[in-house]
Amino acid sequence: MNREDFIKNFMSRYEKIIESRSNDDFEVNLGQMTVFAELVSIFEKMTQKYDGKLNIEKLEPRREHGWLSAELRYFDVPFDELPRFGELLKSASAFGIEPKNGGFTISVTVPNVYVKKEKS
Amino acid sequence: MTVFETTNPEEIVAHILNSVDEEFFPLINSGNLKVNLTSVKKISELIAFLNESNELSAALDDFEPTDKTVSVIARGPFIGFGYKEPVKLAELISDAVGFSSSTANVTQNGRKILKAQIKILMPNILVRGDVNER
Repeated sequence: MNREDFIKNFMSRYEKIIESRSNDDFEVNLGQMTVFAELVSIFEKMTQKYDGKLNIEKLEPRREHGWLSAELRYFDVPFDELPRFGELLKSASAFGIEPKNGGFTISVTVPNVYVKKEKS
Repeated sequence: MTVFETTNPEEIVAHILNSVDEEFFPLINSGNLKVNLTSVKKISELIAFLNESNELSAALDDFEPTDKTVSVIARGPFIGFGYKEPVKLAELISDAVGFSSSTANVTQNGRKILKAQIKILMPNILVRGDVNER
């Protein structure tokens, strides 16, 4: 199986698992959701400043993790926001930059913005 | 822009001293200004970390004597940090004074390839001679 087939196969199985879950079984994890919201705010400002496009995809409880991406030609973190940006990165599980369409897509994944409700 | 590839602290110091403007020479020679070895060590660690990630190639950009900063540049077909790497990256850039991202056309084997690029600006490369380093 080549890499492409593996990813297709994996994603198909992954989506089946997600579909088998109910959103009602999950609740917001405030700490991680706050991190995600702050990152959204930083990326929103960047896309406005550099005429980019912000995507927040498939944010729903049963998926647990928050993923955002921004299509940009340039990205810079203002000096006064850099320490906080570093702190936010510590709560991320993935951070990537991929060249695309003359610019690039920058993406961040914040894990566990939703968590499974504890059974009472 | 000259890009200098190394993780060797001694070579980093040499690169910085080679980039210093002549006006700083009397201050360095008299001991009133020195290269901050703590910062050099962090830069070396940052370059090593970036070079270990994916197909990244990290290097030092020119030293900016006026701002006393040096840029660390990493380029790759894809720049990605996963699992515990974002935490490590955050720790290594905790002292940084600039973080930006763009793309760069790099000639490789005669072909132009579009690569993602991050530029991290590290401060306090030159300090007063009487400053004790941690």
